[in-house]
Amino acid sequence: MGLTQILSTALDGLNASQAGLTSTGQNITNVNTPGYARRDLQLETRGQGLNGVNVAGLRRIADTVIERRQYQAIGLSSAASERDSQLGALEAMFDDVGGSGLSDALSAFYGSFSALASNPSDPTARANVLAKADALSGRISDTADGIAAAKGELLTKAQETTAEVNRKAQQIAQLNQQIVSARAQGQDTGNLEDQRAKVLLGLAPLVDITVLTQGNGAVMIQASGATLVDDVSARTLSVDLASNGDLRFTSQTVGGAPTDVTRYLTGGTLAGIKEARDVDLAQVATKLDDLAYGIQTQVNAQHTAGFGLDGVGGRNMFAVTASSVGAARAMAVSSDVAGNPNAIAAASSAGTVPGGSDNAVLLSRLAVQPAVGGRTVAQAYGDLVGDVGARKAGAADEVTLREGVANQMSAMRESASGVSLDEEMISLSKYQRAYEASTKLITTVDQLLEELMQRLGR
Amino acid sequence: MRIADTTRQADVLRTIQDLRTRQADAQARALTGRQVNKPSDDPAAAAELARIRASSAQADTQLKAAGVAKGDLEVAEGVLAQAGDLFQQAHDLAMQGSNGSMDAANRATLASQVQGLKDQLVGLANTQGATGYLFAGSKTATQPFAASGAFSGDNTDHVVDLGGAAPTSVSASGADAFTAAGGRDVFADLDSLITALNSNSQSGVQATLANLEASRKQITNVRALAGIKLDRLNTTEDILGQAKLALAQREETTAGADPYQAYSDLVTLGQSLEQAVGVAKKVLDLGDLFRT
Repeated sequence: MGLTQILSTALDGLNASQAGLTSTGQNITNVNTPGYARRDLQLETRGQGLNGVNVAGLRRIADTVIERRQYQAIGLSSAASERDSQLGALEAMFDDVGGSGLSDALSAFYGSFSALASNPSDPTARANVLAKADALSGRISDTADGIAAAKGELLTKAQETTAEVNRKAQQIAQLNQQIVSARAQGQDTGNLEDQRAKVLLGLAPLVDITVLTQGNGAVMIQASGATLVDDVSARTLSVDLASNGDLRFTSQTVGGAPTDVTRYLTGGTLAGIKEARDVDLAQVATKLDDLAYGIQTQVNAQHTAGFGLDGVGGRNMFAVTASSVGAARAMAVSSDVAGNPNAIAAASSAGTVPGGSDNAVLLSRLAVQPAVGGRTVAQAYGDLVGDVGARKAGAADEVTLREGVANQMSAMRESASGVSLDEEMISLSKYQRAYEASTKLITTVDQLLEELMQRLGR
Repeated sequence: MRIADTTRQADVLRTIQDLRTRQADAQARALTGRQVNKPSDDPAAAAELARIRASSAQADTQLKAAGVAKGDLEVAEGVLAQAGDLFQQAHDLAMQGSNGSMDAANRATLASQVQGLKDQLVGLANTQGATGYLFAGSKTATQPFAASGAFSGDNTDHVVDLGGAAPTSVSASGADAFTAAGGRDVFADLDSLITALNSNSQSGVQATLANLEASRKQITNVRALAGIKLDRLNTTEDILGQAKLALAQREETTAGADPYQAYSDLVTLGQSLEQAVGVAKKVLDLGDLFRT
């Protein structure tokens, strides 16, 4: 090997070191970039006889198996977080400790009959019964309205989320196309894969996805059990309401028939919305309906048995609903007694007005008699509060569990693909030293050539 | 395991966030003195708390009802005591009137005094309390006794709910005290005395003595009954007060936080947070150490 060949080898060294510094710089620059996978410089010795170094390229360090698990873990974590968040809002409606529950209104209502029994002809006591009945029915219907409004908002959120899912699916399909095309031309697709990974990290919290890498570099995505992205084309995920009022998710190709995929939805914000809306909110709303129906049925039965100051009986205290369905939202003071305190039936017979208090006592004592499924109103309401609390506590535990797994998966992914500045600092020094050494080699060869030239010139 | 910088930062952030959350919970416990500040803190306790509060509110209502009832019943009992005294006076006047040495003029004077007693009795029987006419039964809005003593009320008990197995009667019956429903029409007995005195009939006056005594006993019996009811109301108030106390203790047991523990948790978590922030600074500055 001649001196000029050594110079050529040193030049290889300079190029390799520069490439190393470049890749190190790229890693450092992208230390906080979502989806970025660190690059590892691929060096190899040149072919036989040359002894130089060849920069084979940059390898994008990624573990597709861990990534797939991470996407699934993110989806489950996101579903749990969404449900937890929604239940937090629901819990606030039944937070008697914080003063926003129904306990006070229930107690005040039944207590108003006790005060009426103390002084059945007192107009203030009569007006108070009406006021407390109005406050209770208002509180119950407001709570039911709040739940119904939350369900409406969740439908809107599900629609917005599916739109975001579709937008990201389109982005991934386009990136798939660019990657396939670039790879066919032998170009580095690392940056495009980073962009796609970033979009996938944004898609995973929205819906449960399974990502399968294909031979041409594209990824196929299955969401909610149906293909969302296939090579370079994306399907559309939609949401509407089923006949029973529950959310219904459908997957559809362009021009194709929609396929119901609701029951396959297991993760992401959409699954959390579905669970919170169609299970938790729906069940709590039903229990609130049962409570409202129990109260109105029981109170009406007793109230109609009594007589107002005008000697008229058979009046309802609350507006009657045909069944428990929607009873909470429809809860209101009956037009029989609304605005007419004298119509409150404190006496059990027309002959004992105005001082008869026995029916008011019986109305007051309803508070301790079974009204809802064999439970008193206070017991049934306590059960409802406990149920809401248990759902929220369960959801919070689920969040802790799922976030733990997602964090672990994230740490594993970062362990493989993430940038470690410690490593990069060492690489920086390593390539800096290599560059200096190559420079020294050139200087040495230059000195040797100069000495050779001097000797040859004498 | 290879640790990336983002993992390190995320771990630090998570740890601090977790400590902040626990600190906020501990702060709520220390501030409110309650272990259960929202249903999800302890669902079973929250459900129990709702039931305890309902029971406590009911006990409050019953205590108020007992207080109101006591007020009127005390007035009624006092009125019946005065009515009994009036009959004692009427009986004394009848004793005087049955004296053989008394002439018609003196008996007429006595009759006039008895008429005054009757008028007073009518006034007493028409006494009003917080709930209306106390001896009118259910006809609380209408004066129950006419000047003649004719009764237009009824014998309906005023009942309230004090938590017992049955509604509690808290009224003194005017019908039983003053009308034939209780055995004797006390006004008629006074009228008989007045008539006998005015007709200067010694034997007639003597004949009223037994009836006057029976009327007095009738009123006294109703007064005694009112006294018993008052005693029961006092006992009920004591029981309800104890029940309230027991419910407050149950609420404390169910949801109360140990204040020392809550404060200790708050201090400990504050220290942990300071340490975590200190560690975070060191962890996040590691890159800088390399560059120097």
